[in-house]
Amino acid sequence: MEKIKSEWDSLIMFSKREFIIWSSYRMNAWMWVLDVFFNTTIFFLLSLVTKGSTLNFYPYGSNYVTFIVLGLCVYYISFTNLGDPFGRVSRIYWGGTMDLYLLSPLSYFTPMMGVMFRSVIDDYPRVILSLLFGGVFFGATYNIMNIPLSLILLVLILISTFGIGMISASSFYLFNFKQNTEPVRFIFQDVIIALTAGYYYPLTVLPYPLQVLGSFIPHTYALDALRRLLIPGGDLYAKVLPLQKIINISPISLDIIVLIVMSVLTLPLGWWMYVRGIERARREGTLTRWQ
Amino acid sequence: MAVENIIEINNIVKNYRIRKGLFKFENFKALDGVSLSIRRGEIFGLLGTNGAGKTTLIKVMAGLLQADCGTGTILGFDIYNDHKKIRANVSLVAPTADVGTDNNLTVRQNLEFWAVVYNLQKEKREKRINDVLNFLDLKEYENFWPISISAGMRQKLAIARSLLVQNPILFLDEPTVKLDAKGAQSIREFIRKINKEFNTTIILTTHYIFEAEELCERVAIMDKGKIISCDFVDNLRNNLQKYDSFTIECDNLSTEIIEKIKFNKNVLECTYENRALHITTDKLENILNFTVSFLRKENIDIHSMETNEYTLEDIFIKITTEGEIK
Repeated sequence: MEKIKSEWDSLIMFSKREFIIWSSYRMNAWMWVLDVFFNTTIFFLLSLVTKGSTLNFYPYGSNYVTFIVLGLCVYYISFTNLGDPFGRVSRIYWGGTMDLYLLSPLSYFTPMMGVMFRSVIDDYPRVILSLLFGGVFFGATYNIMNIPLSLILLVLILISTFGIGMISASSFYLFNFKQNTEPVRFIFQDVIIALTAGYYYPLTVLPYPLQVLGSFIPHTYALDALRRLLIPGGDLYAKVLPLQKIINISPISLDIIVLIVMSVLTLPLGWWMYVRGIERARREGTLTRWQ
Repeated sequence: MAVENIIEINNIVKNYRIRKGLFKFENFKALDGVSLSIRRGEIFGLLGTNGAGKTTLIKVMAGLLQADCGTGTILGFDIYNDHKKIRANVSLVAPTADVGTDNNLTVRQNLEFWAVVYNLQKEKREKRINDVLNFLDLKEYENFWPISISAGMRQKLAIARSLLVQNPILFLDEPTVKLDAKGAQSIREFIRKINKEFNTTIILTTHYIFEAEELCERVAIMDKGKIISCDFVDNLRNNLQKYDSFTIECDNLSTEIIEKIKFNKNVLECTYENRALHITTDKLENILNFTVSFLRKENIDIHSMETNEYTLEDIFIKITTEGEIK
């Protein structure tokens, strides 16, 4: 219990430090709000173009702004949780501080999660701002009754993307990818997710092989469930994803089960690989650039 | 009372794998059969040129690097099985003060951050930070950004961080590198003070031989991954000093007088240059008495006289060029 408390205290301290750093650049806050606003605006304008077109959003209702705002929310979470761990391990390595963190009683994970707070501070509130801007300025509407279940889905997408992020981060030490990019993040974020995540369009409009490819990322299931639940007029029972057509349970339940399975698989695997990576670096003398 | 060895390592070998091509690797032997014992409470110096293996040895002893083979215990903990316990009981200051120092936080905020990371109890944090700030004369700079204080002060901040927890072993990797003479001297004073007041065992690597001579009781001289000599500074000096020498400052020595001095069979070398008579001998006392008496008899004024001891620098150069002192 004491160990958990000390790790928690450290995480709070890391977040405090990252907040001080983030807020020390005064323009940051204004640029940040404007960035979210303009991102939402772009998709609102896009929704004007698509209005009345034959684009098929079924079974996700008909409000394209809400559709996009929810896509943006998952994008922001994924951007931090999947894309950031590798970059933060890289920052610790190039800053030469991995040795110092290892000389502390912290677990191997706490420093990496701690420095991730910079992105958490930057990206997580964007989720709320996007929902807010969408609703206040651009006509997004939400099915408020389903918010509690949607929060559970948000937590699941948060965990499952972080699991993939951990696998990506572990490659820094485990496979010695010390440059700016590495294959796990590239394959997931820049290829599969970029093509098939469905931030801006429903997966169903893609060719079937891409729909199958999209079945291997958590975004597909999180977006499917969130859009059905939160967009007014969303159909809770129509089966549109490849896996939903195979397994005969309700789409929302299947989405949740798949997200749980992905979380249970990726997070422990990512953590295990990260520990192996640190141990390998300790054997090879590559924990920090300072030798 | 038996002297307690806080660090005991035997035959440590460490190879680094260096990439030489797309699929080609070569091993670089960073440590080659290093054995070392370090006593509780001493300041121990590791001397060597760049690439000698000093930092690698420190990392092995700090539990940050796994040795390929050899055995050892640090504070009684096995270097292979108890590396986490070792790491929890040692502190380390990296060669550059900027490692671990965040320039966006003030001096005090930096220490507050590390106090939590090092799991210092909440009720003790404030007092400990104040103590460390006072101890290292950093109190008046506590609200400064690290970037706005001198390099010496930043190095003190790095040392302050390592003192937040009172670990029994402190590794200082080139603590005065990049500092001006005044800053370096101040750091050296604090190293002595830390050792004296907290009985902390300090293992120090340095390129500066005078620094090791000034601070350390014992030193190990490393070259190409090996410890080629390890002893008390005085012993190293005595071992090397097979021949003594002395210098007498005097005016107007004729060639005839110099030749007469040279004639003594115990005078191995005799030169006179810039008013300095320099004599090397295998019998210091006899030849010193003989020379002084002889010069006085010849009515030569002696302005000054000194015996020449080997400095650690002389020893270091001699050892690294000629090999190990037996």
